[in-house]
Amino acid sequence: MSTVRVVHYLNQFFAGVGGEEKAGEGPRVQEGAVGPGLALQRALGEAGEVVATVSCGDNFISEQPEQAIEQVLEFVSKYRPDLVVAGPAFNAGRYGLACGQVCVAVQERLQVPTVTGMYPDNPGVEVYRSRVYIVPTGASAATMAATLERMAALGLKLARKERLGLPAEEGYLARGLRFTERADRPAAARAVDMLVKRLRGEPFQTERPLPQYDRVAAPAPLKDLSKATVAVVSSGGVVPIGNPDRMESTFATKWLQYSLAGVDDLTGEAWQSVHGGYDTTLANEDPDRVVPIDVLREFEAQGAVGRIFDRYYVTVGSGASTTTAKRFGQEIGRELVAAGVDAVIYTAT
Amino acid sequence: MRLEMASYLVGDIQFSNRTRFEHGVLHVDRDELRGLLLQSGDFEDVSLEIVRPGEAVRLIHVMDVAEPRFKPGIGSTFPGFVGPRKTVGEGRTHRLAGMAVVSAGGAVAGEPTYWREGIVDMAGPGAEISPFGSTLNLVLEFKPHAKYLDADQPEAELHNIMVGSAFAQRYNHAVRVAELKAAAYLARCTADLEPDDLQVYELAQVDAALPRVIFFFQLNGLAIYGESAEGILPSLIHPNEILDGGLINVRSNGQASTRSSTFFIQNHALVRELCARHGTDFNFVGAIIYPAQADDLDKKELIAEYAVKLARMLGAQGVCSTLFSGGHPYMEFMLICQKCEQAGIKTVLVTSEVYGTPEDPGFVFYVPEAEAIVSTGRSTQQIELPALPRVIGGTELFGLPDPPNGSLSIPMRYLCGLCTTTGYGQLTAKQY
Repeated sequence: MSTVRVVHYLNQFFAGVGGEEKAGEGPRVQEGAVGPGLALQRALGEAGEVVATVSCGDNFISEQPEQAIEQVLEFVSKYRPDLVVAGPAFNAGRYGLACGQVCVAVQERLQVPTVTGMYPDNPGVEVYRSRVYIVPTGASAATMAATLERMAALGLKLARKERLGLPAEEGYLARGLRFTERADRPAAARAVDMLVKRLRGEPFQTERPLPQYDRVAAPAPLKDLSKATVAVVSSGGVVPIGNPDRMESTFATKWLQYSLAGVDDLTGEAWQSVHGGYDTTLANEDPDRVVPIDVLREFEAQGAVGRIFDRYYVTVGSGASTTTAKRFGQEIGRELVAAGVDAVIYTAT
Repeated sequence: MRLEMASYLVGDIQFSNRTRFEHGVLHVDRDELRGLLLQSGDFEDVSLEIVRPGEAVRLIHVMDVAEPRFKPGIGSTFPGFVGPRKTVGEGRTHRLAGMAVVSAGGAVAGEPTYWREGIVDMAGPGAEISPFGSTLNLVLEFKPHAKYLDADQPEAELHNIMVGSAFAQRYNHAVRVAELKAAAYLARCTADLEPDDLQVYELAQVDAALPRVIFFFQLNGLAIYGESAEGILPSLIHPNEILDGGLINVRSNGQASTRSSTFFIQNHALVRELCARHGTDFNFVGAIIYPAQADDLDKKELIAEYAVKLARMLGAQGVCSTLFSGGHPYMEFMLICQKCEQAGIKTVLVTSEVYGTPEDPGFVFYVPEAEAIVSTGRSTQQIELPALPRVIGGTELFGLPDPPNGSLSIPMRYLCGLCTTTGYGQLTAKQY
């Protein structure tokens, strides 16, 4: 195995440029290892070589992130590294965020693996842990040498594309990615063991920690519905009969839009639900039950609603990941905002 | 209720001129069995194939899997399908162990196929982790009678995508009847033979001081004694009835990896484990079944309330609770957990999972009380399967563009039974 080429990212302080008074300095590059890089080189031994050190002032990168990242990437790519090591940043907030930002950019745009180190309370951990391998550190630089040893060991594995073990075994903060594996015993035996432990009041370990999802804050109410343009969006799977655009019944990969021009009523002759997660009998008898165009047109005629937007957006919610759902929502939302829509009636099933 | 499960260990299956079980080999009169299955008039043809672990074969369009069983005495073999609707779960039952009857075949008019694809590989990485990659399988490939294929008939109309057209429902039922007829026919040849193993299931009286435990079983696509379980309120059932043919799969709904194949119900791993530790670690009081299909919140709330009330009436102190799969079934599943914990009943949940990213760990709904969960694996994970030259079950995959005999890179959800929440398998998911 050839020597792994490593580029090290540091802030202005650790790169020896200066303290807080130099935090506004832009990116620079130096050949070889600098400052903590010397300990990193010792930790890498003969397996790797720190070929360059790229640094940037913490304020500069936080205030002009795009410019800073472009420059950092240009320096990094010149040295054709197999690995980029950033920090460790310990409990320094701006530095932690910078390390995370550099790692994500290097991974996504240069396709080079990265590793960084931070104190678990560093704000960079919360922002970047799902995308970057972060070695947990102490709060201060006192643990520098030991931290760099762990970062070097992990980094070498990543550079060699070796399969990583569990977070606790390899010494990184769990990224939250879950993979199917064979356990030592059947699920039935594991479940009953867990139950017996619970009945005896003994400690037990769940195999599936509970999540924390984003909460979307409700927007301010409309000032005057009678002047508002209202769009209809649905994940109930109501599409034109025959499903001409082949909306999937589950695990949908797309959203579709259909014109509502001249449509006052969604009839079972012209529309159907292809949603694969609920009993569609009633929806197919009268698709207005899922997408209430008939009633909305009445409100529009009475002047209770200003105008019904003339395009209707639809997908199928069954089996959707929140990641896909979020993307669909943002894409549809952009179109609606651009079209001057004031409010959305969103129906699910 | 005392159930004696008499096992006959099948070391090989061979086609032969007379159906019999001899020296661990099941000899099958292919023509006689085929004739028996064609009698119903539901099929244009049925072909029978034997496939063994390690053979370069891929089964596709798998509809259900069953273990051969025969009941000589009390009760009936597969009540509501093959035998009369007598209570099962007591007396002696013969089982052919180490083998399975696998039903496969195409769809009929008005049958939605978005969930339908179910793959069993007999060799390679798919076989290594799949329960049916290691059983000797007698595969029944069904060709529907032309009467089920006429898309112009009113019976071909699709009103509810979850259950399919009238044709699809009738045909799926006919396939189960045929599969179970075959299963009963095969096991019947052990009627006068001594078993290799005898297991007794009897929830005998135990020390009253032991904690009382029940099992909550969320049902999907299953019939109870031949009757739809879809509209029912939660019901008490003896664990032996689950193991002895009281519940049968009638629909290939849900992703194949978590589908409740009849085989998994007959060999319900969690029920068997709870029985095995009855009297030692706890007092296993019984099982409560409830449907996963309630479409509105009110009904889900009622089901959860009713289920937990039954558990309280039984004096439960601990429960194991299994999720079928899917999205909205999480609601009543989690509500049951919450109401149990609020009533002081300790719960352990068994689920498969999807997605497994930090943004989406795949919980459609959860409660903070759900702190003890066993995972049976993440079914959206990709798996690479090699080309397998011989394919049984069809010529094209449902919902996948690839040729069925080629190499496949697909989510695990297409593989039959991989992540079953009955606890039969050994998979889990770990956080990285």
